[in-house]
Amino acid sequence: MMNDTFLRACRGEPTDYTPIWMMRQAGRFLPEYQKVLARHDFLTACRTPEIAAEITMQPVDVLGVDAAIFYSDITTTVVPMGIELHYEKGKGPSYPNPIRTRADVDNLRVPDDPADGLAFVYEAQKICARELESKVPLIGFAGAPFTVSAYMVEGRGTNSFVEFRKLAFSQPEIYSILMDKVARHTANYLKAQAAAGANALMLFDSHAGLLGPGDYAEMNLPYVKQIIADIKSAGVPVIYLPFAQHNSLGSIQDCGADVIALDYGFRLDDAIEELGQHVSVQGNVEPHALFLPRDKIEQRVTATLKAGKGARGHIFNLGHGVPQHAPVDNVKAMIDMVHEKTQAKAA
Amino acid sequence: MNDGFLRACRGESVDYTPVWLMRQAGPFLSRYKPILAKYDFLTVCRTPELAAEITIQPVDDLGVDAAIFYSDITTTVVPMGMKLSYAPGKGPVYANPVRTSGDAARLRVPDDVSEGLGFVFEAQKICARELASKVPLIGFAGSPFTVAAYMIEGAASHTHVNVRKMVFGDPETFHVVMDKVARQTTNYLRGQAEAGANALMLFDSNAGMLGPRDYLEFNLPYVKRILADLQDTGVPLIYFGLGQHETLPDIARCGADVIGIDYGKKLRNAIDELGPNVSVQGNIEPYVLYQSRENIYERVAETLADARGARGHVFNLGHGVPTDAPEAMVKALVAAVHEQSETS
Repeated sequence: MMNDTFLRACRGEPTDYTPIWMMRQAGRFLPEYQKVLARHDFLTACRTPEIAAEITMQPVDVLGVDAAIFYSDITTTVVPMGIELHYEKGKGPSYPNPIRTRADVDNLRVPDDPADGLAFVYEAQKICARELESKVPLIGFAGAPFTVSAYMVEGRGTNSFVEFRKLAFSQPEIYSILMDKVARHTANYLKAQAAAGANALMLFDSHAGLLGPGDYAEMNLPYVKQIIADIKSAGVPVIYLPFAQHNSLGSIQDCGADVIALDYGFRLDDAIEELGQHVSVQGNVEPHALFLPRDKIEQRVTATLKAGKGARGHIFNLGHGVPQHAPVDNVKAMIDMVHEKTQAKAA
Repeated sequence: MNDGFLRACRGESVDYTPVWLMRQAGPFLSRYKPILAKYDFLTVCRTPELAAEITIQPVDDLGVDAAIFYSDITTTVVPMGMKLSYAPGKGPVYANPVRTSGDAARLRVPDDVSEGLGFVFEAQKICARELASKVPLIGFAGSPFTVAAYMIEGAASHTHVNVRKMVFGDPETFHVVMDKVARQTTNYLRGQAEAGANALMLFDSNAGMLGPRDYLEFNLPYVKRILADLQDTGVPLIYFGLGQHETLPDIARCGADVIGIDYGKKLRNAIDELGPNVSVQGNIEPYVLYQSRENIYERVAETLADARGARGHVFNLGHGVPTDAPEAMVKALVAAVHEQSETS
């Protein structure tokens, strides 16, 4: 039988202990992961169902987390829309033909069949769903349309997103066509993941902090709501991570997600108060606390659990991804602490 | 001198809302480009006449109510032993990043701050003379956390992996770096007030790198120490903690007269959280400069309305002027602030 603690916490149902998983838990800090990536390049790993499934499941067995998150990259989703993706070791993903003009957005397509160009994802998720059936739930995911569009316009990761912000503010028609197309494609992609076996779906909005609160409410959040409303019929919990958007929780609470994921820039207790009792929360210990001595890690875990108590449901997580060089032993220790501390209290 | 800016800093009454813009001396200005085409960036910073000329340009061209000294936050720590170079397109780079306790121990804090930084104070004397009948001059420095982050990484970084590893994995070394940078920064800012700066600003561009708890432990105490040390200069002090949105009640007590607010925070909420003892500076979205005049005008009105509860309001963008912002729109924004706040 599947350990459904994570799903119960998402829905705000009682749990025996606080479930935990970690963003980027299938990542470079794991020796098992490094072995696989030594043999295959990143895009090959993403596009080979057996390899993606293997990496997805590693942290479940090695770390003892309460959920698996599918191994993929947010930049791959939009390739079937007609944008070319490159991946250079050490430089990350890039789109050599960024979206800048009206013609660029008009040329983007939203495939009717979400398997068109992305079948490898669903194949991998079917393997995961089968293998995880008696273990833990599988989280499917996508980048939020704002975050993915930012990447498509810049063509690569940047600090300042100058081109994207110029387009968003000076070419609102082009911007809204782009966002609408990416949102529709993302909804299809997420629904297909649920059909392939994902037990929960997460939207990563890593660049949500690029806009101030007023512009975020007008230019980003409506598309998130549109997607979540569309995927509700899948019947699985939906998680939304509005990274670094620290002043909009009042409007984010109504976005339709079952769980709001909080980054480490928030005070968890304040955030829970602002969000209210109709959503669960996920988060938000400082990731680099993994470099601290054990007693200090324990203090932080205790403080985060205490703050999380006020929530309808709390899924423990880091406030950002696991750092690349995080000591594996400390990652394991943190997971054990969360389980032990919350189990003891339940008994 | 038009002292509207200084009065707003102190929370005194003003005839209209003063405005200046972060990076107002920047590549969007038509008169800036020819100078930077002729000289490289570090040469401009280190030549008093050139730095002064660029500092003063926006006062004449844009009609802003304050000049901010033209410099870069990475230069301050060169006399501490940092080897700075500047590659066009890459920005400033330190060839000897600070990574170990040995590196931190080797950093020196010169007794005489004009050692290695005399060009700054020379340039500011020129500015003070030329601006005497115009507007105040703002001197500035990077805050110790932001500068230390740069020293530890050695270059601009998305992820700041090395900084974070030191903060959490080797806090003793981090505190040594912070202590030394804070002392150098205090001396540097004091030197600027003596050279003629009428206000001093600490830019904490990386303040959002740490969550609230760690910001209060590893960053803010050093800001407080610097500002406490500078009280006797008698000039208004401004602190700008970019991306640090959850700690404004603590920041309100840091010793600054003015708190800069970035565009990520609703100004009205920020003012509520800061309370009545500080003025605010900010915080319009910089990319509205790419919109129509009507939109800009509307946004200015919103920001002015949002700031009504503040003890004092210095209008500014919520981040720097984008490098290719249309100059005409920048002027339109400055004019809109004056016009709308005068008549209201």
